[in-house]
Amino acid sequence: MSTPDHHPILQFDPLSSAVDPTFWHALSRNKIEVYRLDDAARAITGYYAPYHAASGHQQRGAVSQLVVGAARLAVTAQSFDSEDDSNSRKGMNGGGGVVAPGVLYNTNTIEEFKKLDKSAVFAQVADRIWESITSGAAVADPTLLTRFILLTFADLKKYKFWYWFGFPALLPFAPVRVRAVRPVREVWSARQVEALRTGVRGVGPFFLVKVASADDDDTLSVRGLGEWDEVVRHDESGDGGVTVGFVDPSGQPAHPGWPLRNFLILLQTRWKVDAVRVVCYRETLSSTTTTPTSIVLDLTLPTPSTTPTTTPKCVGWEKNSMAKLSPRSADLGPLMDPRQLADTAVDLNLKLMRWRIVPTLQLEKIATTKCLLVGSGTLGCHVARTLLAWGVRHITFIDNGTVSFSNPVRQPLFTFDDCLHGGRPKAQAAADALKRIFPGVHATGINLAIPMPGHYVPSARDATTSAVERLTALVEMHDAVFLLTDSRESRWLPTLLGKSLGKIVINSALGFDTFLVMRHGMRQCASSASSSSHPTPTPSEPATTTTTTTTRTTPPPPALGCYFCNDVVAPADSLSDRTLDQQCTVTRPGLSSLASATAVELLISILNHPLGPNAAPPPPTPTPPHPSDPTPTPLGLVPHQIRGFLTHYTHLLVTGHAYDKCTACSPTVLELYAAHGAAFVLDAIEDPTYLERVTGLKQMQMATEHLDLEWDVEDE
Amino acid sequence: MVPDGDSLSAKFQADALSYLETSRSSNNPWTLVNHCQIVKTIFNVVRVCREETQSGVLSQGEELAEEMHEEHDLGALPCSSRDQDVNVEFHVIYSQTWQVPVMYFSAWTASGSPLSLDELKAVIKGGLPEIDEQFRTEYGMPVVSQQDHPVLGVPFFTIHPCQTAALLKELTAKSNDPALTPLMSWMSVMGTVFHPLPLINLSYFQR
Ligand SMILES: [Zn+2]
Repeated sequence: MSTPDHHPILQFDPLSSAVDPTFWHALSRNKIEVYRLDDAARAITGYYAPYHAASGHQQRGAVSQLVVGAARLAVTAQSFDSEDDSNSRKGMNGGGGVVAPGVLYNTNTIEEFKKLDKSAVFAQVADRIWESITSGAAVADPTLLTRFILLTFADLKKYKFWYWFGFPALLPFAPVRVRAVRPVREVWSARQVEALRTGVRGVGPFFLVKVASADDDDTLSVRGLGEWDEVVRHDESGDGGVTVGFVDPSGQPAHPGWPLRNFLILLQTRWKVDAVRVVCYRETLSSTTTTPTSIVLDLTLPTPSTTPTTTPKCVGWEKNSMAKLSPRSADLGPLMDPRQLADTAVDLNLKLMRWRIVPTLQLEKIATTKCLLVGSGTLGCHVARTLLAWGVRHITFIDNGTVSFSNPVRQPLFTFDDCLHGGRPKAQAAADALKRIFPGVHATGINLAIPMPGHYVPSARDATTSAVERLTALVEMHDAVFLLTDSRESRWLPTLLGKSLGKIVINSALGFDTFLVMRHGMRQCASSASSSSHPTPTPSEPATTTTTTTTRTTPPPPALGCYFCNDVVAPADSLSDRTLDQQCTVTRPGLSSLASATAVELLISILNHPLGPNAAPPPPTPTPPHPSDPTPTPLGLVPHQIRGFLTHYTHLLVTGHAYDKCTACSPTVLELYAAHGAAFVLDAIEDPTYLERVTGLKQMQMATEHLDLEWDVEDE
Repeated sequence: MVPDGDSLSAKFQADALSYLETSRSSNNPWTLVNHCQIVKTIFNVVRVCREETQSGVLSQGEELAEEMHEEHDLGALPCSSRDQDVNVEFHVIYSQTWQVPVMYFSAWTASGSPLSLDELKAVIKGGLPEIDEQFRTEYGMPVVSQQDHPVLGVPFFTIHPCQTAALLKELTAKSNDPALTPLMSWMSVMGTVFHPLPLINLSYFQR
């Protein structure tokens, strides 16, 4: 015993902090409701448990193997429960776990967290541990040996938490040497191990073990530290050695856990123990388990000639994941940030729909489709809300009006306050409202007057030119354009731009009790009409159910028309003789939400169709399609035009083809625009007959005088 | 005759207790928390890469590092990186509304930072063969929503219970083992969904 130096130095497995998310929730609540700016030290409770063989589990590739997990000290929401709780003082909690008293320093700012005199805090706790050893308080309540420190700073605005644990361990006067390490089974009989298991539960985290001589009696009992005199002094068995034990959170096969360190100091200081047998108590699930289990250590303790009068040196700050002595942090945003929670909830809700109803639903495609809403009135408000419900995250409003007192009751993104002081700009007010509804949306409001044929103001030529350029840029940066203005001629330029730039254009217009929702035909590609050559958007998946193989051999179907294709007159000033308000109030109020919802659903059907905007409309049938008829794609038909009639509560599906003299989408117009850009638009605006002349419509009019197709439900 | 909620949750409790017994004997214990909740925690599955978060955390941590140095300590076991730890917790809670057991789950790192569903899926996916992935999809791993945990009050992921009743009915009809309670059958499906996490001892059910 006097020359133990050839034995290896005993190394202890450090504790690893494990913070339950509920701890951060509770800390945030306490900070707001209780502590406020008071940064005084608070008592908290930590928990550890005997290492549990089954809790260490790790996958490597397809192979599942057991690895030794960390020795954890956990803090949870319960850690803040009152210290006076009688159960916790006893040292054992329900599940065979152990409590450790801790002290929490929560600072108010990150600067205070940095500046906090950590060495002083650490030394204070070390002093208290030492004091509990020298006074004997730790004999009565051994949990005092596991006192720990937690420094925190809660950044409640960013849901971020900075923290640092310290598990103070008093350093021995000289290194502890280990003479033998054996599994408990090699030291004690099965009966004795079972007696140990049942005994530990009733006693506490540190205990004495009284073993009868192995030869005659096969008994073992677990005793509290308070019974030292009775157990050790009168122990006549064996070599007169001392056997102790502790609840060991470590699963290391040859090393004890950190809590043993202060216990050994207690043994040396209080009882002058210089050699000891220690059982590191760990849990095993069943006798057949071969995974790490309790171990027994035979140790030599260096004992000083005199008990030191001051606190020994002390270590135990937890290292961060880079093995540096540095704080750690936790990001609770996904659980605490209402914006992130809303984001996740909306996303998962749509996925639920996909799983339940339409497995092929292209949620990602929908979410990434950028929508431009030309018009922020009744239709614009409703369209935006329905887009939001579908998970569309990028919505831009265009309008040049302000919110008036008649608007909020019909236009669901506005409230009374928006009308005050002359009214807020509609586009901006709509975008702001959308963000209040769902902060995750990227919504913008653009105050812009759409240049319109027949609305020429000579003095505003420059302004008109820049408006054309602005609108062109906006159409360019979006994927789908909704035409939702309250006049016919304001739809002309966006129709032209949408067609020219290959965007999806959805048009919705209201009559008194009828509505029109239509998609504009896409620009035909010169090479072929086959599905692979269409520019925007690319179908992300080939059709799973090819309805026919004859598409290749038949000539391509005629292109679909636009809003202006059936017109025999060019768009002109239809607004001069009536006010805007008169015009919007002449529809049945329920009509706009019906039309808007239909418009959005049409976009969704387009996006989900394998051919996207090039999807063919349903072929004409002698009788209207019956709702129980099968549809080629899960979301159903992708009609060209839907006309709703509130008088009869019915819809008609109509297909109209592109007109080669159309003032908005004919090749002539597209070519002129491609060649002259804004100058062409200005010509069209300045001269009401210009479009009719260049398209040949004028000549047509003369030929077919008085023929009025009257298809546009918005007019008259 | 429609059984009332209380007697149903009593049935759940009885089934849960028998399940706990089974899980203990199959070396994969669950814990009863209260009359309508059983819980299992799995530690230390392989950590998925959280690049942006992690690098953010680490660089900030460096920034906060001070001239902290401790006494030279021969007694500390040098630890390998323990930050691989991901804590995955499963709570089976009886829903009075749906009258079926509902699986709540959550995963977080040692710091308490939650994993997103995608990160968790990456953890669960492990090195699974395709066929299991298909089975998982069929049984609805994607049918996950996020809800406040009814007992803890913090957001948890949950497998939507709308299909559970039908699944239980189907499983009960298929089973010819009277000892296999509906809860156990359902747990075996859950075990497959979350495989290879040792949610249950699958081999026990594959007899
Ligand atoms: Zn046209």
